[in-house]
Amino acid sequence: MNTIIFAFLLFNSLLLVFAGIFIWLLREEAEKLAAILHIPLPTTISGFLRLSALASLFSLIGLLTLLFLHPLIF
Amino acid sequence: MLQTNSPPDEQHLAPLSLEPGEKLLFTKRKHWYMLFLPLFKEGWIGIVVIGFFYIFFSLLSLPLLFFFIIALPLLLLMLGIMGKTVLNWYFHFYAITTQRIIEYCCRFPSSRSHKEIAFHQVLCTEIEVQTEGKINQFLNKGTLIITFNYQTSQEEMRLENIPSPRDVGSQLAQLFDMLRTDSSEDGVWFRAKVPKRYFFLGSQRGGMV
Repeated sequence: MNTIIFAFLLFNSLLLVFAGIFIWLLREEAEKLAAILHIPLPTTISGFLRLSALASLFSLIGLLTLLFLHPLIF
Repeated sequence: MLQTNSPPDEQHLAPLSLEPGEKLLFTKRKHWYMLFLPLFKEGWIGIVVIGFFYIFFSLLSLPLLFFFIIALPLLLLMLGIMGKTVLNWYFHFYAITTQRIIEYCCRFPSSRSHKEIAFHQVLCTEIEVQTEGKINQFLNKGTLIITFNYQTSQEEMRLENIPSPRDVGSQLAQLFDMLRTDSSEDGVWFRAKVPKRYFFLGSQRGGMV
């Protein structure tokens, strides 16, 4: 049972890492392109991407905590 | 920048290297409705997938924590995909300057395309406005098709799903009319598909005849 929970948590952590990196790269690319084209990137868009990236980071911290502490919790 | 009806500002298209004396007239993005539909679709798919996992975990009588563990990455992935859609919309624009039409299209993360037609190399023969359907009429959204003649070939430039296509079409027709050097030739035909009427912009400046 512990192995299944570990695999489940690991898979979701990896998915979260992928989502976080994707959002972060998207934001970086958008800011770079906006600078090249001299277009101001609206704060709603950049803020949304920044918040999503931060959310994925904090979720990852939570998930990794669960990953290491799962024998004690479950 | 590049907002609809924003004041012209040459700084905005600096990397597209405006020639000396060239002025940016206006820029257009696709209508916001074109952003709303894919966002709605992506949001709906995300909700259905997360809902499926909720039902699945409820049926197995597993703790709610497991549902949150899988829902969180899915939610963030969905937000990332939605962010990509917004950026694709934001960085796809048409810029009309006094010397050319530029279409800049960016598909995140890596695809970029840039198309331009210089007016001095071509002769604009027709500007066609297509507004199909009641919804498009209500939203004032349509496609502007500009037909250019090269010496041996013909090319179309499509400004797809832009807001206020008729206004943009008439502004462009006036611009082409002003740019036309040979006054003996016919003017620019401006055709609005809905309703089906034709306007002829004569060789004299000063609007429609």
